[in-house]
Amino acid sequence: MDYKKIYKNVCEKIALDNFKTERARKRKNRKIALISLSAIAFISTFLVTINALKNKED
Amino acid sequence: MNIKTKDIIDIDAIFKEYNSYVFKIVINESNNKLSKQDKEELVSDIFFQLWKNQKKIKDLKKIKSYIGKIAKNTTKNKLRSLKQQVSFDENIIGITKDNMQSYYVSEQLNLINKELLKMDVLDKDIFIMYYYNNKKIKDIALIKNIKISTVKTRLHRTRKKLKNQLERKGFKNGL
Repeated sequence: MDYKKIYKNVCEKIALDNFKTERARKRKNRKIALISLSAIAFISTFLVTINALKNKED
Repeated sequence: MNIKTKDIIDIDAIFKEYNSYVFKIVINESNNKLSKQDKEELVSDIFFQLWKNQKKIKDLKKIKSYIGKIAKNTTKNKLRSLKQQVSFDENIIGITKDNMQSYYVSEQLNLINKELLKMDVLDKDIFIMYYYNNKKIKDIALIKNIKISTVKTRLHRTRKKLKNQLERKGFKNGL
């Protein structure tokens, strides 16, 4: 039984799992950031439009 | 290798201490049904499972029994998956001694290939990945960016379709 080879295999699996977890975390963060930015952009546009309409009425 | 430092268990030390113990369990549980490579793969899988589920370990003193349990269950799962592969091979792709049977099998394969060509691209891909490339359902879902349940449903549907087609063409056992 080649224990060195097995240990190397375990390490590779752990490294791959770490990489996948990290990648998933980054993707999730990117998604959240994108959604937040979109929401902010939408709200600010909404507010600006409302303000402009108010000023026009005045 | 890149192993996180915030690990609860020291996988290096645990591997050194318990590798022979795990190997013995694998040998006992597998009853010589596994090749040397499979056994090595299984031992590495067991330690990987241990590392992955380290947060579930409440008492580090009982780690030996925990490792034992993981080893037994992982070996059983491996044997089960091998059994499924073998039965599938025997039914569809397996090489048979009898000429008539090999003709029968090749006819079945031809029909399956023809039917696969007619199918939806996603269904076809999933079927090929699962049965021809021996990929796990979880991995297929990840590759195709779909839910695990969707993969299962599509596989089930494809199998059913193929079975119906095979039965229509006179193959009684189907898939």
